[in-house]
Amino acid sequence: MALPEILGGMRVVVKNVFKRKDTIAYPEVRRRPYPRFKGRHILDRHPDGLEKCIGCELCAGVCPADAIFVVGAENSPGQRFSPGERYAQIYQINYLRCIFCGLCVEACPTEALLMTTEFELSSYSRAESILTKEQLIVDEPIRRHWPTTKELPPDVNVLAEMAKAGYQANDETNVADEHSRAAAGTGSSQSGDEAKR
Amino acid sequence: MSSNGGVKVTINGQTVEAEPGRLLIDVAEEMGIFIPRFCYHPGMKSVAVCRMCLVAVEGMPKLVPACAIPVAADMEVNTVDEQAVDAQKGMLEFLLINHPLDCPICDRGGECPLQDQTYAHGPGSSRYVEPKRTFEKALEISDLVVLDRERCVLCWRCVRFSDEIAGDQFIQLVDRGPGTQILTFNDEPFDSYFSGNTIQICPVGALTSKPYRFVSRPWDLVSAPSVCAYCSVGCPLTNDVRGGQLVRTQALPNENVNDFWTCDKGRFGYHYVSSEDRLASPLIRNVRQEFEPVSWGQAVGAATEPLSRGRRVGVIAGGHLTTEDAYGVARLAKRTIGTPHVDSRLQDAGAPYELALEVSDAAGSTATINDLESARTIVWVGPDPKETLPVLYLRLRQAWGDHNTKVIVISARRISLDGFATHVVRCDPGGEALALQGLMDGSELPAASDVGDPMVVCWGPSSPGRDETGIFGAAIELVKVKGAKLLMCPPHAGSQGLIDMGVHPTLDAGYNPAPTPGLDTRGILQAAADGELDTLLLVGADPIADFPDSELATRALASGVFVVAVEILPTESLAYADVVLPSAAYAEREGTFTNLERRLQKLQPVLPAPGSAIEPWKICARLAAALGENWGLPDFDDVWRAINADVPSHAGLQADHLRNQPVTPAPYYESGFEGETPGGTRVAGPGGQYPHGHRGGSPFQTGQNWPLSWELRAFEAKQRPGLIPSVPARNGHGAPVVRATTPPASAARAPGRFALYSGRLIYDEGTMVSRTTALRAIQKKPFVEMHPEDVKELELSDGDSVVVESDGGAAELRIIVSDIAKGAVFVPYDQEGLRANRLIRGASPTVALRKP
Amino acid sequence: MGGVSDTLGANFMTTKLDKLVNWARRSSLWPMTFGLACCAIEMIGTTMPRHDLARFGMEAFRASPRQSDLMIVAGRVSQKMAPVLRQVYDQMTEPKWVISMGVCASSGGMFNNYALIQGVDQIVPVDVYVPGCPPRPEMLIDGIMLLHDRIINGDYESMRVAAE
Repeated sequence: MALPEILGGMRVVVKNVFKRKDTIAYPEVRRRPYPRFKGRHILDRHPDGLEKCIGCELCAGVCPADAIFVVGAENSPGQRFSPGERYAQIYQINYLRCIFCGLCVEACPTEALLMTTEFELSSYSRAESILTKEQLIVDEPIRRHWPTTKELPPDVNVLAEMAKAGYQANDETNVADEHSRAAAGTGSSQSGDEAKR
Repeated sequence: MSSNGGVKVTINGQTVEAEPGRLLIDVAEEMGIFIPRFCYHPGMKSVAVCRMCLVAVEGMPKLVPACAIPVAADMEVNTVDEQAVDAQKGMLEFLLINHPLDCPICDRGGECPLQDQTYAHGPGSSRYVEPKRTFEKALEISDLVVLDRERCVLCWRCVRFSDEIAGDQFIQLVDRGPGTQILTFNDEPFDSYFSGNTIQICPVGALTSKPYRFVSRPWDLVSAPSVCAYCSVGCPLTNDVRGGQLVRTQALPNENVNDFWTCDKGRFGYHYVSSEDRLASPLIRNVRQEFEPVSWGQAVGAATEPLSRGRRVGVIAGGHLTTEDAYGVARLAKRTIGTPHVDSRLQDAGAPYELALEVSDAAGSTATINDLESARTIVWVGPDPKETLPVLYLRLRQAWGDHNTKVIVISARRISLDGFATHVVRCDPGGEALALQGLMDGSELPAASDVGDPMVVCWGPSSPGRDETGIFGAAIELVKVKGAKLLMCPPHAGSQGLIDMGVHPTLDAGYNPAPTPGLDTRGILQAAADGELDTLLLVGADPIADFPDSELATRALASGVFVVAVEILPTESLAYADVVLPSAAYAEREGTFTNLERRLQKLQPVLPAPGSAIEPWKICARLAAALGENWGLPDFDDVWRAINADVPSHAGLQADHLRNQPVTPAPYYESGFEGETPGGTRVAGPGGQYPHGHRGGSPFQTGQNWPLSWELRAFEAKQRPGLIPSVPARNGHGAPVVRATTPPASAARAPGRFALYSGRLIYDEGTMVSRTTALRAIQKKPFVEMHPEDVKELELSDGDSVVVESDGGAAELRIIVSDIAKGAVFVPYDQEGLRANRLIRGASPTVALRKP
Repeated sequence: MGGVSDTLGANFMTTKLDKLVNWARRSSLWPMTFGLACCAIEMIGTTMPRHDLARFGMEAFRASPRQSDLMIVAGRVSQKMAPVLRQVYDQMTEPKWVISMGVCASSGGMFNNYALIQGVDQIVPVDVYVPGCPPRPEMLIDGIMLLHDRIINGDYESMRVAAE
């Protein structure tokens, strides 16, 4: 008879009914990506408030998807944006081209361009997907689309694993990560002040 | 020594035969062996200061600089000797001690010989940890050049260029030892017409361009070789485009034309191409007499009836049209419309170019620019070449400097050539012809009469509005008597091509005499003003600004004639146009310019034309089609097939000849080159180890990207030499030659009247060049040059104002006392606030002067 | 075709009904299976228990365009695929929506070349663009929720006009 098969099947069902639920109910519940997850960029500032970006276009040059557009200009004594001679007059990243490979961050000679772990970037139009310097600069808070009530740690705590293996975690967490955490758990705009310094 | 006078040299195991006396570095380069260098430049003398090109030569106790050692018989050279490589590494380590690592913001970064050679020959790491030498950064030494002394590697190239080539030593090495730096004197600006060349030859980013500063990185640029659209020298250029904007032009070397150089007008005067007021759509006047954008069909339709009036149509073409445009204009005017009234001479109105047919089969030069260097005597009668034909001035200077050529200048005023001329004849106003005759029979300037062969006589229209027939006639006479060669210097890039194609009232295409001679520019404008013409077709012409009688030009255009204008930018004459047809600029089109030695050089498009603008010859074809004659010439190749058939002097010339120029082996400048040389040798230059196939940028980037520095672009451009069409010998010379012998003006001078000389200065209010802000900023303010005695008679002194008056108007100008013939004044043609053509009346214009 | 307002005319009753209909439409979108490349794997991952697209009533991916009202273009669209994609879109019943998933579908992404359509919006109207290469499941859910917002708030007719 089919009874053993039915019972066998029911056993699987019953076992799983009492198991911990695997579903993460995004967007209410979020699992934080790994710290080195490559998400939306930010442009950092120096402690004195000047932009780190010098408009050198190396990020644009290295970008395999041609997603970055930079136009440089010269700082004038009256209007200084960055240390040195050159700053980025226009800085745009087209998120409909960006493949989040991170080559731009590697190419950046001043560590101005960093990647956060933010990923809510969907939009209704192509134009909205091109983020300008004003949106990318670190003092502009990253707006998440959906409020989150609960944030879970990454699946595997890489830092803990590393510590277990004998690596020393760096006290100075990078700005991008910090910024990301500041934005975490908020649907709106309160995170900027911390990052502004 | 071998049979043909060459010596056998062995470099890195390869043996070649080389001309004795040539530099080792050049010979190696031709073999495909790249020796790194900074100070050596093929256009200048060697100084061997950078010590980068050290090589080992068998039998010499120490390493020797390849740029200073001529090859000798049985020389055995090793450029990759362990010792030599060590020395090169050491030199680079030394150079990088003080060189700042600001490559990310340096405009040179990405096309920098220092970067490239460091990649290829550098040590990889530096042992130097002490602080670097610092200077104040980014010194603006002129409106065009920015100097960063920190980056300088003291190669002297700029200093040598100013000294050897340009002859204006504005930039020098100052101080000694570790404090040595490049600087201008006492903070005077780098006020040279050729300063841009120092930017291009600087092997680091010490000298950079101010208009191009931080505009783009090299890997953003899409480039194409082209030809300068300003003067008739026709320097080959590259046009660099970023984001649909022309952002930079650089000189391409061509030993036949410009050597390695170009002037600052050609180099920085490109902004008009991407100017916002470019005409993008055809315009016609609506009922309110305002311009209204319309379709091509409507605009051409509106122009059709007025253009179908045969001999009651006048056609004036401007000097910046290409050879194909000239063909289109001539064919449209003479064959389709059927009017003989067609001319291209505006600023040079009345210049008797056809007289050249007396000594030549072409109405053009018999000499080439290179003939200047082999000449023993050069006679110059014409405008100031430094202002109007700057690169020709460099070539003249080089001829004098390198070959000790005798330079005889005949001029009523001091011109730049006087600075090094061996003989200067300061003639009376209008006395140039007599001076030339005197030179012929030895009565004038006996010291100069032992002219040596070969001799080149250069003539160009010296002063707008002046009758030049007598002067050019005398020059032709001199050419005949002395068996000299003639270098005829019309003013604009397209001038010669327009003559060749028959945009001329008495010459048809290929210099055949026109069956019915038409009116020249002055005649056309006069006829229009008198109501004898119904329609004027202006192709790239702005008579009000250019014709040396703006009152007549204004009267002609305002007389109610129907004006059809083909233009790239709004001009003053456009205000009187009824139909405006937009045309493509030189960077947006295929075409050829014919330079003053009749050399055809090809333009490559690198930009789309704004809106619906098209090439003038295509506009001519459209107008012809509307007039009922379908030319059937859809593209560049077809128009050349037609020129080939219709223009005897250009018979046998195809578009392919212009595209595929015979390739002369080009040296691998600076950056080296990876790949096969024409001889089949594998080259691994400094570029060799640098992955320039994928140098940054996306592998999927569209468009043509030039690799590495301009020197390599030059290689890719294959030293485009251009073609000089050969002219079939003609029996009897066609055009009737009318020659007036002008008596010296001083004899007939009315009291109180001064002969008016004029001429364009390099930076003026021209439609094209005035769109460049940087050049407009250094434009000279209007002035009047006067003889010291004349100034004294007026009881004025240098720097005072004087009112210059003629029938056409008056202007208050600053006096510059100068070496000009007594009784003559010089006024620049088109400076801000002064249009000299408002003062000019008639063929020997005079003015009166009075105190303000 | 449109909301019920077309049939019933504009009155108090229908605005309420419109909302109800929109809510119903939002809550049971049936996506069309249109996985074209690597993004499809993430799209599949989105339906798996960890992300559980069934929470939004979307677990039923249909193989037939007649039964689906959302096309998730997941992956690069080649020139050859373009007419197929358009035909499938045309065969879908109204009302219908399109999510362009990943940068290749949205703009060509890193494949700026002759073989690929530089953005699927050149052939079909796109309602939501989801960046990423490929987008992680959360990014797709983010896009789907933006679409939900659009459906519940927006009048379908006007959206369509804007997109076309």
